[in-house]
Amino acid sequence: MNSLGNGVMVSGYGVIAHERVVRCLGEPARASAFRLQTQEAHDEYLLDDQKLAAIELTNKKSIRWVDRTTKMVVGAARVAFQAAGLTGSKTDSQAGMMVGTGLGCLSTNEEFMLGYKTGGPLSVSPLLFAYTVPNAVVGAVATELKLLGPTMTYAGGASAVFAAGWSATLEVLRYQAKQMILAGYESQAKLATRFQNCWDTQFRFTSSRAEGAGVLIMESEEVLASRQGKGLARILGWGMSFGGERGLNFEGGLLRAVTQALTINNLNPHQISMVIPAAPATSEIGVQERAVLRTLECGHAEILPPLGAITGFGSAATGIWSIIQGIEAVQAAGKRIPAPVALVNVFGFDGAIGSLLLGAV
Amino acid sequence: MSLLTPEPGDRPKHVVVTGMSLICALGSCLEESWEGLITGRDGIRVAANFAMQGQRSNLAAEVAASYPYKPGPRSWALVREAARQAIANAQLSPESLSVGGVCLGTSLGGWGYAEDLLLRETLPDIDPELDLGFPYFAPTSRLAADLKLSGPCQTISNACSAGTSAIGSAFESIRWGQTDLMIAGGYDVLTAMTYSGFHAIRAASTKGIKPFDRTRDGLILGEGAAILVLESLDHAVNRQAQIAAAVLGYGSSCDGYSMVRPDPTGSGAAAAMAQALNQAALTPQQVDFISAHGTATTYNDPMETAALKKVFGELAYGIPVHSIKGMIGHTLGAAGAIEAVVCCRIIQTGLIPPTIHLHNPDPLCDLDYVPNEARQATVRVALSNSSAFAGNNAALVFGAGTR
Repeated sequence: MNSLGNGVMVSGYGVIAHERVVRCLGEPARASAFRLQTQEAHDEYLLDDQKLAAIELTNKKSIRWVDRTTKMVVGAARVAFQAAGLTGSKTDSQAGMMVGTGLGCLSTNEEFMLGYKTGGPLSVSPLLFAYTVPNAVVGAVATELKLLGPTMTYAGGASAVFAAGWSATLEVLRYQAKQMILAGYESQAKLATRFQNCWDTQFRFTSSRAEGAGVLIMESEEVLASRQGKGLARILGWGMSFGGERGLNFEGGLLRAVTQALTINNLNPHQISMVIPAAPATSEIGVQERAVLRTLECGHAEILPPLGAITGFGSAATGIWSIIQGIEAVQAAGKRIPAPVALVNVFGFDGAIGSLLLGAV
Repeated sequence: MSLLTPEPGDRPKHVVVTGMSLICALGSCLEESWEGLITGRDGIRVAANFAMQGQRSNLAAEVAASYPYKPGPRSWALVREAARQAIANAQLSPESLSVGGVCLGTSLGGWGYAEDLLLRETLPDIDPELDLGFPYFAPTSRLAADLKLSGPCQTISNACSAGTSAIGSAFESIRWGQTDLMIAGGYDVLTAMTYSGFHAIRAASTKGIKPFDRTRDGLILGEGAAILVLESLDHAVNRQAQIAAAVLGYGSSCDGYSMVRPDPTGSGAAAAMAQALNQAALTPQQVDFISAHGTATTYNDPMETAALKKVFGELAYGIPVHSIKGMIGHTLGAAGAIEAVVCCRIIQTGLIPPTIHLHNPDPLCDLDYVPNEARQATVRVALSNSSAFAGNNAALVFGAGTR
């Protein structure tokens, strides 16, 4: 254990999303901007097919074609690598990738099954079949960026990104992977809409639909210093728990998750200066979340609006965007207060809860 | 224990296996399946339950018909039953279980529900069972709710290495103090999408599955589920649990080579296995047995042989390696979990199930694959290897008792 590094930093991020999401992420700490935009929050925030079509892989010899979902992640990864100052030789071959998603490559699966339905089993597309697994995006990004390190794909909703983030942190600290890519993605499809409608009805959740991807680059502080890179935020702790079916015990689950995240780095709740909540205060989940913050006695913390309420709910994409919101918030707060700590909470479709503590650099 | 700012003396926890279950084409419980495996029984036959109309083949390794006919409920039923058996095997009370979490690997989760919807003439009105049942995570989530778990609830969807990765992820959760108990494993059932898809990419056989044989022409899909109860050693000892084996190491890697073909040099698979051994602090000399992915596809078997030679050098020729897929088919997300259970059982019994249908070894596959007949051996350390679509590789190391 003593051979572990000093910490894990986020050195870059990239987002492929509807322009409203990008705009929100650009103004993280300004609650007024969020409130303004919340009033228009009942649209769909889907991506322009033509813009996505422009994302092509460079390694055509290995991958001739990628689906729409994969393009989102490849596009976000490229932006993140550029933002982190990682190009070509600076990327270590032992870099790996951890991914979280909710419904995975559902749109591609639907397209595959359309071929099956209309032409029978013998007419299905072998090209599409390669993209009917949620980890297809990892294969494409790894081939494109020549990543040979550890990979794992979690499927569960917004919290899946947090499980993936915990794994990525372990890989950076324990296995010396020089860089780990943490990605979250979600694409919309016919069944995704049905699922969300059903979820909204069953669980009394209200949200509009969104899709897109986000990618973070995580590195150890030593690696970042050795390549003279710039850290944007520090990972201080992750917590994971189960909040029961339909979020019935969200309060108990969130308390466990936040406590776990705090314990990992021996922090106390009073150090939390801002919270990116899992849900709006008016929702059932939101009420339970505020109760947890009171129990922890971190009521002094500034509570930012939950991103999903503004940008539409994009499940795992919202999970990673919330982390990016936390990074930007902690960066901005670092100019006003000493050692700000942001708590980011998410609640997944699968009932899993994730908490993350981020610190300023 | 603090991971990010460790105190002197902080150590990762030891992780042990205290309960297991296995449901596959050879049996509806661990004992029945194990009996089939050590006697080299072929579980592949003309599918009786899964609709094969218009498919290129009618062969599959189905589990018993007593499970619900439709693939969606079938996956949930398999998960529930496999978990029930593993928990019973671990002699865990509901109270002691509630502190734990769950991590299951799958290629498809509840996808059968989605196929049911998509293959209808028109989409029906909202149907909560179908609409909430199809996501990858639905069976995991239902299990966590059923068992009233409070720890991590995770679904790994790494295609064919998902079961191995799920056990690896659960192992890390315990090792680094997130929880003391995890229900971990994998499952998958036959679906129209995977069956037609594997034939479309010419990776599936219409005759039989012959790992490492020169006449092999692909995999045959199977279905099943396997669950392991993992605990920290302290937790297991405190409740006086029977320890079946220890999980010693986990590794994963990416080929970065192709979406559907493995890197023929085996570098990616070798990296995952080396990482697992490294974490276990073991040398190649200490490995007594290897469970291969062994899918019987043109590309996998020579690649895997090359990978083993990279990791073990000349030692590779002296270590028994087997593939059980000739008996139970390729069970996708369940495969790695089933193979993990088999590794633990081999450590317990000293009996290695054979690689069946291996009569004409491929010259490129020249290791000791335990052909056609089970073998007795003292196995203290077993390595299990898995590979998947999109170039994902994962490996686990199991050891006898505790270290």
